[in-house]
Amino acid sequence: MSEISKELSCQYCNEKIAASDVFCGQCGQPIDEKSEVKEDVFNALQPALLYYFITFLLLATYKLTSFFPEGFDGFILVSVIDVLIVLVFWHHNFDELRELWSLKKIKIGLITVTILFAVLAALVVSLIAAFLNRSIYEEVYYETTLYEESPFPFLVATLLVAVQPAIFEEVAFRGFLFNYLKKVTTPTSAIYVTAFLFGVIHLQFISLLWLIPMGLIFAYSRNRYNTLWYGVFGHFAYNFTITAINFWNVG
Amino acid sequence: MEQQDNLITSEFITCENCNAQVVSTVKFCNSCSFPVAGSEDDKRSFRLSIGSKKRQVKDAEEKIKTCKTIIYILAGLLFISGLVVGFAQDDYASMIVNLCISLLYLILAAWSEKNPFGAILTAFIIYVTLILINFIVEPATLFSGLLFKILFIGAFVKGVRSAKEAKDILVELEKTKSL
Ligand SMILES: [Zn+2]
Repeated sequence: MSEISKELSCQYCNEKIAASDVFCGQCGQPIDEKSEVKEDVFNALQPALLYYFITFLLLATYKLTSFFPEGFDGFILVSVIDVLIVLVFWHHNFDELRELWSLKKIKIGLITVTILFAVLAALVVSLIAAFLNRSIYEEVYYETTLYEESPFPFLVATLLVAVQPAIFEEVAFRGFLFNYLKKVTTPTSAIYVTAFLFGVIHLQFISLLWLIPMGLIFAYSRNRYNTLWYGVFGHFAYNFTITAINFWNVG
Repeated sequence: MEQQDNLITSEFITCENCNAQVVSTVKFCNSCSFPVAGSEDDKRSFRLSIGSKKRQVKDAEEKIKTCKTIIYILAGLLFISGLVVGFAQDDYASMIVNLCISLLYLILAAWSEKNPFGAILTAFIIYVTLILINFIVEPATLFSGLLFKILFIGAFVKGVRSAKEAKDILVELEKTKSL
């Protein structure tokens, strides 16, 4: 038995305890237990489920029904609502998320590797898609015709398809959704769950084959390095490459 | 200071529950919280509470198992319906989609062995997502097999809660050296 150190005392009965004690010898209460109230899982997960299903309903209504206007207008409208939903949750979790944006955690070498890897992945995925068939091809590529209605098609496409998801999907899936899940389960479990949801919410079921691995890599790096930056740069590089190939093919 | 000297020179006793050596002045074992200085009643109620926790884990594991079975059933159903739309109706795009989701469920079922909470939660969300997709495309589909949908959703909700509960109790049991 170790000697009793002067600083340690039981949080329940104030009796002195040894560093090796798991339970207090006088009152039998656990020593390091955080005095947290055990909350129902679904209560704890409520905001996560809320974000997921609201966003899902928005995207599903846009992709599967004619509720939203056709063409560029509809796409802009849905993107704006999508961003607004994320902003509400971002605002609610602002302090927790702020540390994930810290620039100090960026390592230039890793960022470069991330970008190169993302570009390579995008090239491979588009080759596979082109090789498979037209129906899968359309899943991978975004319609260029959509942007022809706008003054600078390539610039607008870059903003909507590469910049917007790189920031807002990362804040959502690797930011607050990840944090909500980490409250009820292990980080590893949070990595997998957010990756699956990230894949599914895109509503492109063949693309799950690469969306889920992408989600896994981004979530892993978010957990490993405690930053969103690798996800943001990787996500941007991937989507930008797909967009560029897309315009190249058309032009 | 006095107390410290007193403790260092004091005798040790062996905990009946975990065999740890504890100072004879304590009321509870420092390593497993067993009431070493308690009455027979205290000791019995400690063992009873461990027993009831173990039973809770068993119950939870039953519900987790039900969910695993459901996930395998869903994987199988989608696989079959994928083949049917593909080869009987020549709808290869739908076939690939169905096979992809079937594969997804299969992965989740396999993952549920290692991490029931994450896998069942994910399967539950995907299941509800697919019901909603079908509903948005064709509202009438909501009512086909409605009873099964309700049963499966109920089982998933219980499964998610049970997986979390089982994990929490196992941590507690581990701490009281009762596994
Ligand atoms: Zn003990």
